[in-house]
Amino acid sequence: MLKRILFFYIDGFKNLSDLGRKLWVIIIIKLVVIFVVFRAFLFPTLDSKIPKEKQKELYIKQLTKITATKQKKEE
Amino acid sequence: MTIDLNMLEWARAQFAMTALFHFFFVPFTLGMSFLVAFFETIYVKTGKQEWKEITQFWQTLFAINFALGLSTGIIHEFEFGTNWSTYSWVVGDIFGAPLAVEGIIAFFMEATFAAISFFGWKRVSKGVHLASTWLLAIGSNLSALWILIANGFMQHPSNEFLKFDIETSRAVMTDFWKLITQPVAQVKFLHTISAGYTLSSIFVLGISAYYLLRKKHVDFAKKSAAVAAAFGLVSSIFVAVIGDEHAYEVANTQPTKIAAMEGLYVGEKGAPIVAFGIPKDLPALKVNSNDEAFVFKIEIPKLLSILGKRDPDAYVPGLKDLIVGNPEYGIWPLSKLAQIGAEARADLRAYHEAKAKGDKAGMEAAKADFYSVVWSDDKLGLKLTKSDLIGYGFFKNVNNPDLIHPPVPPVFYSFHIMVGLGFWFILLFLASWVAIIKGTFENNRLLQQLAVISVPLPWIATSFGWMTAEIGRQPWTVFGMLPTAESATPIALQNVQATFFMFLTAFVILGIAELKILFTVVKHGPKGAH
Repeated sequence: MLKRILFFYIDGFKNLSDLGRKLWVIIIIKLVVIFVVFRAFLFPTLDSKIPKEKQKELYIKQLTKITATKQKKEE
Repeated sequence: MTIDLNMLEWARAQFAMTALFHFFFVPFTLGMSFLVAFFETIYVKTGKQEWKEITQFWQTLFAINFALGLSTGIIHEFEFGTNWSTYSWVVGDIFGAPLAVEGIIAFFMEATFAAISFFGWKRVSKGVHLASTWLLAIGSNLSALWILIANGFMQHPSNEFLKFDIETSRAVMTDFWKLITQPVAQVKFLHTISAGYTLSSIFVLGISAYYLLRKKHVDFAKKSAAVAAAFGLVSSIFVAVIGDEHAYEVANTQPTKIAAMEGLYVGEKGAPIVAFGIPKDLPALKVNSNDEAFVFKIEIPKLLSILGKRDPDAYVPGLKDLIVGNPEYGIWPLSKLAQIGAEARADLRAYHEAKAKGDKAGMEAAKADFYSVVWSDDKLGLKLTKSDLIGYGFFKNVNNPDLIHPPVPPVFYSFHIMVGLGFWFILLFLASWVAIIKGTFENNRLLQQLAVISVPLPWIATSFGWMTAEIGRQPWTVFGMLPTAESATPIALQNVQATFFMFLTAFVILGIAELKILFTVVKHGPKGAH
């Protein structure tokens, strides 16, 4: 069964139309850009700079701090 | 932590750009997958080769959109982590569940059956292929269901399926079934998928009309147009019907949004709908009559009360009522909501300070007050605790109460453009369907030209619909629970600007690639498309 599924895909990719080939090239380039280039830019983020045990404390402070939304906007 | 307000606006713009770009592909996939399934069903039923060609041509266009749109939604996941980490922290346990289900079930279902549907024409039986095409359509639509359940929660975070947990300082799910069956999410799902069916039907009708205008692929175009007009007519009428139900849900769960959608500053009994108008952006407290809030307007009397409350004489609160309150109709003023929210925030702070000191009595006292009931209706079985109103605590010290509602002009225009286009689509499909039944569509150049011109319009309508939903929810990311300004990550403005332009570049390139490939295939026509 697994062999049949494998050959189904191999056969499908072997017999791709020109358009199909073009679309796969675009998909691969896009995935590389998203998962390699963007990821390299975006991570490590703030998340990795703050120790895990400090994160909860930080968010609780964020949720309970006295500053009102408007006051921050005026700043 | 302090949030740079410029950064907040850039983060919002980045998310909006990503959502709108992703939404360029989504409705097309939702609708076209079913149209392809219809075409293939006719092929399998009749056994006629021409229907196979029709199926394969539209499947090619579907595949282009599927391939180009694939993974563009992933960018949102990045943004949740980088720009919206407080949001992710507070509601991730609820928001993440539907997204995870979408990823595990719906996406893999799509991927599996897409492979059979695209590769399997000569490799599996007709029946298996047809089943795969249908399952691909169902899988695509199931993806939308889970995403819209997640969005429905942001629009209406009911305490029927969640509570704000004082221990973890996060919202936690209490009832998964109620989360996925809540009416706000369900009507949003049905409204969105039927809009997708309308969009793809107009695409097929428009391209078919283009071939008829050029006297090319005439038989192909007539057959395609017939299926598209019938599907589009049913879908566009359904969009309007379910849109009415959607508006009813919005009126009863997000009163600030419905008031902004209609430019209703002062509440009215028997409230009208503004069919056409130019609203002013005014401070709500300075408005004494809804007439002064418009440069010009044409109204349909009582319609907003009918749509929003199912009663022509029902009272619909305006933005001013939602700020100052209206005891006659049981509407609390913002000051009262903000006071309760501030007490909930104080309880949360007191609980964790007591916990740090090992003061169990202090923890219990804070917890009891946090979950104390502030309103209940025994008949309806509903109740509100202080914790349910925690978000309003951020508006305790506001000098400008207009921050509690969305800006009127963008929400008003987005909503009215969407509705206006929606009615145009019904007329277009009706006229096309009648012409097809009478056999006059092939020679009706005016109707064909209108169909071609209309091709981009449903993308405009769906984008404005999305903007109505999302701008209309402001100033909240999660209505009543978490303000947008408190949801962001305190990162540097430059980081957000850099990623904004990075994504913009990628989106422009992908968008150009999509349009170029689509136009090339359409230009060549059905012969040899597959």
